[in-house]
Parts: sequence; structure tokens; C-alpha cells
Amino acid sequence: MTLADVLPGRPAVVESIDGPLATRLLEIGLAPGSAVEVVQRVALGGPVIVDLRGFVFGVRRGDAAAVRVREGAP
Amino acid sequence: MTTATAAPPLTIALIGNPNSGKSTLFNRLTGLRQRVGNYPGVTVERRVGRFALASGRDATIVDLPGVRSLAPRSPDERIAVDVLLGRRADVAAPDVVVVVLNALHLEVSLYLLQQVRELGVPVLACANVADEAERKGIRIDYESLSGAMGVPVLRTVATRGEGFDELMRHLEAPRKRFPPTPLPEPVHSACERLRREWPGNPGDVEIADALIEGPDADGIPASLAARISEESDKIGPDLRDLIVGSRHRRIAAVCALAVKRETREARGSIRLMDRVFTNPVSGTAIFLAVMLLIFWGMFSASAIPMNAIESGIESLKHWTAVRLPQGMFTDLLADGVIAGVGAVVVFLPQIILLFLFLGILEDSGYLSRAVLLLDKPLSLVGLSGRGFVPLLGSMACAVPGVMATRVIPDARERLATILVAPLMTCSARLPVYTVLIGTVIVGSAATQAFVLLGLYMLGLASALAVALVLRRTTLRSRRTDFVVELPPYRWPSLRTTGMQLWQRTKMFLKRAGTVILGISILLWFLTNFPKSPEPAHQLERSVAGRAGKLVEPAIRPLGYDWKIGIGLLTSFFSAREVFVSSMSTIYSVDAGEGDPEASLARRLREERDPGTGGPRWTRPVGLSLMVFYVFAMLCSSTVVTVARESASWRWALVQVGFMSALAYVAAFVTYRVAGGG
Repeated sequence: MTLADVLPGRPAVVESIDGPLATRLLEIGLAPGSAVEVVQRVALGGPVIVDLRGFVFGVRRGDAAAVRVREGAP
Repeated sequence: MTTATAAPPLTIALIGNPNSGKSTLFNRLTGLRQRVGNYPGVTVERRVGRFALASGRDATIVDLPGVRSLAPRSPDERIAVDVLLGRRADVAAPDVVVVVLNALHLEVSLYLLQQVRELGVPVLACANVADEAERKGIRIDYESLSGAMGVPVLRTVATRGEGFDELMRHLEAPRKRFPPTPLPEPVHSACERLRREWPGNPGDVEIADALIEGPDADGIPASLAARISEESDKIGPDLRDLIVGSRHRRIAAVCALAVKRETREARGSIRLMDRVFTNPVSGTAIFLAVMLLIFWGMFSASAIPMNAIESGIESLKHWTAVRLPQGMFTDLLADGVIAGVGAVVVFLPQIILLFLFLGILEDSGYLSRAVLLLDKPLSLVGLSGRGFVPLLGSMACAVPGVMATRVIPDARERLATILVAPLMTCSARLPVYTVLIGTVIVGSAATQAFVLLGLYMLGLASALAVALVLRRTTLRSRRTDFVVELPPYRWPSLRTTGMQLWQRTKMFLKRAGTVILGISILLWFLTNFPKSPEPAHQLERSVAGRAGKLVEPAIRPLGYDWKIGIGLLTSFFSAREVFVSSMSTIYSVDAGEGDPEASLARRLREERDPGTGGPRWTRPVGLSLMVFYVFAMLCSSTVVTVARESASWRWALVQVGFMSALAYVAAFVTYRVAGGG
């Protein structure tokens, strides 16, 4: 599954990052093994709001879909 | 007086993540001793300030744009790298670089410190907003953090000036100079090989980014494309991890040593607020309420100071005309300078209020939530949530609106936003609409309000439509870097907001005192010369009158005569609201009597067409003119700003061209459909 599929409130762990924003996301510390939580998925295909160790940010649904995750705590 | 023995000023470069409190720190250090401008040729804001160090020595501090990384992908990041490496002729090579870290997210912001440290420049770091971090139970061991990073890291709270004494001490303390840190092998060797073939001696940050992102980014010589791909393929799929991942592994080790989280964070209420603000129902409702509040402020609350300024200008004009000896100079001063500059200064309260609201929305953290809420709708026309602030700002005035596009990292998306921002209904159109609606829409107040709303919607719809066309044709982007941080909610700081308002006011008044002053004087000469023996024909025989006659054949099909032609020309060379004052002059209305706009509307209604004997200002003429003002770029300040912000006159001229074409066609169609001609 991808970061775009995680339901709000569920923890997940990043497995791999791809897509055009891969470097940007890696630079803020979203790396394989990172624990994340989805705060909100903005309606009508809007951005996904992600909490990474208290650093909360929004990425577009399409970019989030390039981040492979598995559900659950690390 | 300075003594002959004074040391040369210390040059400091300030860099940090967005939302790290970097600008607050800059403002706190420099107070009002700062200058805001632009780096020539690019759209990056250049802020330089001065202050005195503890020893009395002068310091010059350059506030660099907020960035997360030095990888030069946006103009902001390119400027930052150039300044840090002392490559720019207009900024001295920094003696020390101060990296502002966000103590709430050290894991994120240490990445930038690590990159700056690798450049081999003298570095000092501030862990800012330390108080918020401590309240959240984040304990930072500054000694081991400094030791592990090899850079002094100080605790600061910029909003209260905490830690500034120590910062001052460290700024003047002797510093260790490190050599640049080489990238890990085999990236290092690849960089060395490419550097020899690459003109202009690029740094590791630039070469490494080209290796990761591919050779087709801006500023990379096309001749090197094949070589970059070759070196990148040679290193293989681990490339990104070797460069970016390795920095984070180092940072994670440092944080494990020096940062402790004592309590579990209580994020419940923040989480709930985030969800409420970005929820389709409650989020949209709150958003609309906020917009209503802003518009109420801009159009209702601003009326009091605006009327005060207006009557102040009127009395000044009157005083000048009465007290000074009669003659050309007095006329120039009263009708040219005071009336012309005054017509623009009147909008200062609206602009200040808009910036006050925007400042509060931004500082409180709400703006980032609104950006996320609006990203999807705006992405449908090829813009992003970040385009929301410039478009909103353009409803006060396109000049600050266009300047607000600096938050958009993608150059093409920024350009598209700049090109459509002036289609949003700015406050200068409002007096024009008010007069025209009062003249030709004879009906209930509700009908008039409905027409006004329609004009606003037409502006918005055309801005979105043009954006869509631009982004589908000449201004396509390869990708959009959309990673928007949601900062914690904060009470806006009076000091920071006040400082920002002061900067904006200063910039606005400076423009009024230079560009607009010049245009007003010129316009006065054009309407008063050559002198006609009969005052009644002065306007018609003046340069402006002749120009109006000259353009008349071109605007005939839209239903306009030469007098309207003068209004359009004066609008074009100054600002839209000048149309009203031009019409007032042309129809010689006594503006001192009652509501000046209402009396002008009455006078316009009574004007007869010399050809037909019927009313000159018919409904088709009025509607056509309103539609013309929706689309036409009748504002020289915006043209100048767009040229500066897009770093080229070409795009400013393209914009004038397409807006004029749209205005002409739309006004013609309106005139015909409404039954004119």
C-alpha cells in the first residue's frame, strides 16, 4: 500500500520512496523505516497531511502514492 | 562619527528553514535598520540589515530566503548557495553564517546545518523557538549537540530576545575554519571529474543535485547532459541515499545523543484543529467566514481612514490653491501632484489592512491549512494552493499580490500566477465600477450589488481560465514541489506584524513618492499644454485631448468617445481609479459638493450624444466599459512590478498584450449583445 491509502489516525512505516519528490521528502527525513501517521486526507483528492515525528506537512495525493508503506508501528 | 581604527563591518549571512523564526531573529537584531529589495535579475527578495555588535563594531546581516536544503532547485536556493559561497558581486562573502534551526524539529532542520557545514564556511547555529520545544518536553543538550555537529549551537527564543547576548559573543569569537567536507565515494570522484568539464567552477551541492535529479534542470549546460547521466548511471541506484540518506543517518545519530523527548507529546487539540480546518464542510465554512471578514475589513472598516485621508488631501489641495499665489506652479502642485499622488495614497488603509489580515493568518498558522484546503481546486487550473495568497492579495492591489508569488518555488507556476493575478478585482477598480453602475444601472440597490458581484466573479473566472490555458501551453511544469509544512498554531506577534506592516507602508509610500509622483506631473502637463485661448476647449486641444481623439476610432466599436479615451489613457499610464478623477476633470464636476462619485454619475447620465441627441452614457456603453476594466491592464505600477518580479520586460508586455486583447473583444461583445451600436 502507499501513503495515499493510509486512513487518518493509523500509524504506518515507510518502505520506499519514489517519484519526482523523492529527494525533497528524503531531505525532510522521510526515509525507509520512518514511522508516520496520516492526520487527514483533504477531500476530493486533495493533499495528504502527514505527521513525521511531530513535523506535520502536506503532500499531494499523487506524490504520496509514490511512497510505499506498510501499516503498523515500527 | 566613526573612529579611524574601527574594524570593517562583520558580514553575517542568516539562513534557516521556513517557520524557524529566522525573520523574527533578523528583525530583532536589526530593528528598523534594514533595507528590502531584490537581487537583480531574479525574483528573490534581498533583505539586508545592520546592527552594532557588543564591541561596538558594525555588522551587516543578509537575511536569506527560507529554505530546507541547499540543493539548488529554486531561485531561492540558488541565491542562498551563491551568497554563502561569496559568489555574488552585490553581497560580500560572509564572515560567518548563522543557521537558524527549529528546535521543535531538529531532525528536519539539522539537514540544512549539515549542508552548510559541508561547504566549509564558518558556521554558528541557533536552536530557535527553544521555549516551545521545552514546553513540549524536548530536551536539548547543547554541549553535546555542538560537539557532535562540530558547530556551536546556541539556545535562542527570537520573539523575546533570549540567547542574544551569547549569540553576540559568539559572533565576535574566533572561529574554526573547516575545509569543505567531501561527499562520500564514489560521488566525490564523480563530482571532481564533472567539475573539470563544467564551466564556472560549480560547487558539490550543484553537481550532486544534477546527478540526483538528472541533467535537464535550469542552469545546467546542455553539453554536459550526457556526461551527467553517464556518471549518475555509474554510481547506480544508491546515489540519492549516498548523498541525502547519509546526512540523515548522521543527524539521527547526533539527535539520539543530544535530544531527549521527555513526555509524550499532547498533540490532541492541534490534531483536532488541523482536521477541522481542512475538513470539506467545517474547513470550507471557516475559510468562507475568514474571507468575509477580510472583505468586510477591506471595504467597510477601511472606509473611515480612507475618508479621512481623502478629506485631508482635499483640504491640502484647497489650501494650496487658495493660499499660494495663483499661477501654473500652484495648479501643478494642487491638480497634478496632490491630486495624483493623493488618489493612490487613499488606498493605503486598504493595503495595510490586507497585509495585517494576511500577517495574522500567516503567523497564526491558519494560512498553511488554507493552502492545503485550496490546493486541489487550484490544481485543476494548473496552479497550486500556494497561489491562493497572491490571488487573494491581488484583490487589494495586484502589486503586493504579484510580490506574494515569491512563495511559489516552481518558476513556471510562479510566472503563471503573476500573469493572472491582475485579473483579480483590485480595489482600484471599485471606484470605477461604483461610478459606472451608478450611471447606467438604474434599479434597486440589490440589482446594483448583483452587477458588482458579477464583475468580481468575472475577474476570478477569467484569472482561473487564463491560468489553465497558460499551464496547458507555454508554461507547463515538469513537476510541482508541493511539500507544505503545517507549523504549530501561534498567537501572532505584535512586533513582527508591526514591522512587516511598516516595511510594506514604506515601500508603498516610496512608490507613491517616485513613480506615481512623476506620472502625475507628466499628466498635468499633458492636459494643460499647449494652452488654448478658450478654457472650455483646453482639454480638447491639449496633448491628452489630441491623444484621446487619436485613439477614438479604435475604441468607437466599443461605444467610447474621445473623452473616455483620455480616461483609458490616463488609467493606462497611472492606475485604474484615475479614470474617475479624469472623468471628473473632463466633465468639470465640482467634487467638493456632496458625494463626489454620486454627483459624477448624475452628470454622466445627463450628458447628451451630440450626434443623436440621446443620452451619451447608455447602458451598453457603461456595461462595455465595466467589462473593459475587468480585463484591461490599466495600471503602470503593476506592469513595472511584473517586469521586475518576472525578471524580464517580455512577460510584462505579453501580459499587457493578452489582457488588452481580452478587454477589447469582451467589451465589443458586451456592447453588441447589450444592444449598442
